[in-house]
Amino acid sequence: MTSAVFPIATAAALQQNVVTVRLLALCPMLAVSVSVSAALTLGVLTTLVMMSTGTVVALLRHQVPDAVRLPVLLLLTASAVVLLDLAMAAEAANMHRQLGIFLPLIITNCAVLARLELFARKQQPLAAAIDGAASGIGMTAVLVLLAFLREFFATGAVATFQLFPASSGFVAAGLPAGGFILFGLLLAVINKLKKRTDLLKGCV
Amino acid sequence: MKIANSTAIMWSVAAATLPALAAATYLYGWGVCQQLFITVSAATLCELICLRWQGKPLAAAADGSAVVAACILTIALPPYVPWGVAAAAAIFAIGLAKHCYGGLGNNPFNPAMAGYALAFISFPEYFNAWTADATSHPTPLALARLGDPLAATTWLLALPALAAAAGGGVLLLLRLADWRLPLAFCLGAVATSMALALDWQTLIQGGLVFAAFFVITDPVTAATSRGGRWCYAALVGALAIWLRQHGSHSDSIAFAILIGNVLAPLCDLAVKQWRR
Repeated sequence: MTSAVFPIATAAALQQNVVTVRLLALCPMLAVSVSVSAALTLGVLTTLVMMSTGTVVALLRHQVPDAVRLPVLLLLTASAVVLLDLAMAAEAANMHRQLGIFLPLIITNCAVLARLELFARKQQPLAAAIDGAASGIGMTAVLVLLAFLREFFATGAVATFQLFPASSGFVAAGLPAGGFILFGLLLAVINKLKKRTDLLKGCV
Repeated sequence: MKIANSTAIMWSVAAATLPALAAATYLYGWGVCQQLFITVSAATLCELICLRWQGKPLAAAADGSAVVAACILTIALPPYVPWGVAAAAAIFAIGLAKHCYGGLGNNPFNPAMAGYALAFISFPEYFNAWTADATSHPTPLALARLGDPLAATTWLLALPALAAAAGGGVLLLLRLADWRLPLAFCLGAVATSMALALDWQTLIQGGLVFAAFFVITDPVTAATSRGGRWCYAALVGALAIWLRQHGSHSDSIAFAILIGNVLAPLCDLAVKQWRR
């Protein structure tokens, strides 16, 4: 089993990256990528949901009839999300408020459902857990990168350093349109790199 | 005289913006020329880089389309915006609004207007005050919006419009631009301002006349059928005036044109369906 860990993880995080290759989860991504902290939080929460739900789905794979699998997958996802939602409301009220509707909306995140339906439903629990974690990490990486770019262009800030005054930032980068444009450019750069380098061959 | 190929057309259009550029230089000073230099260099450089990345022949940069976009952008932007803003608008216009959509002839949006809109949304502070001779005052249009009777009292205010009309008139005479487009645009604008009971003098202010001759006539982003063109240009003219009055900015021609660009294929289709 341990020998398969690495291939499963790289496949989920790189070759089949839910955001840059499958183009899933774009709605929450564009919505929360205005700030790095929100992007990182949502990414981590989604990773937790994918990992825990994936494990449970894999454990129940022989018990759930195919005909009702979608409601079951969604109910399991919803349970995990509700737990996290309540935990966030209790422990991190500010971030909970900042994420708003996008935290409960993890339930409908296509990336979660896609990994459950395509992978976890047919695999061993350990493999499903690794796949969920790696997919989530792959998504979080892209999300944080995009949030970093948007925050930088819109406010001139890199973490706590101010590279140029916030007043001369590109307001448009913080708007949804700017998010779409930057995401498109990011995809273009990744595709270009994919063609150029052998290092990334078959990856990302 | 009939000018047929797109390179010759583009350079003629660029030349036709010269009277308007000269008028702007006369009114606002050498900043206009500096800005023209910045936008032309940024646009050309961006054009070369985009062509290189796509593996297209670099000679295509000589077709003049980047220069035309830069000239239009220079006139649209206030004369003293920081160079970075002007360069960003030019780069956005050429790199994103033009090359990302497949280059010359494939762009759904007018590149110069897309660049202007980006700069306008991102840096609104530079667009509220036009500076002439280092003294800052609100635009005549902003005054008219506030109901200031002093607005538009001097003939100087009509100068940019006259200069744009002179250059644009030459384009129409040479048949480089379809006369239906400016005419329908003006009709739409006049009708809307009458409907809204606006001061007629506001019609010659802002970029309205310039847009009528140089922006609306862009054959790539306009509707293609004759009927569609009447419908498209009249719609943009009406929108430009309506947005001026009811939008959140004092001059919204760029937004009217971008909305019109989206609707241009629909205009063609609507006219075709209606004729049937």
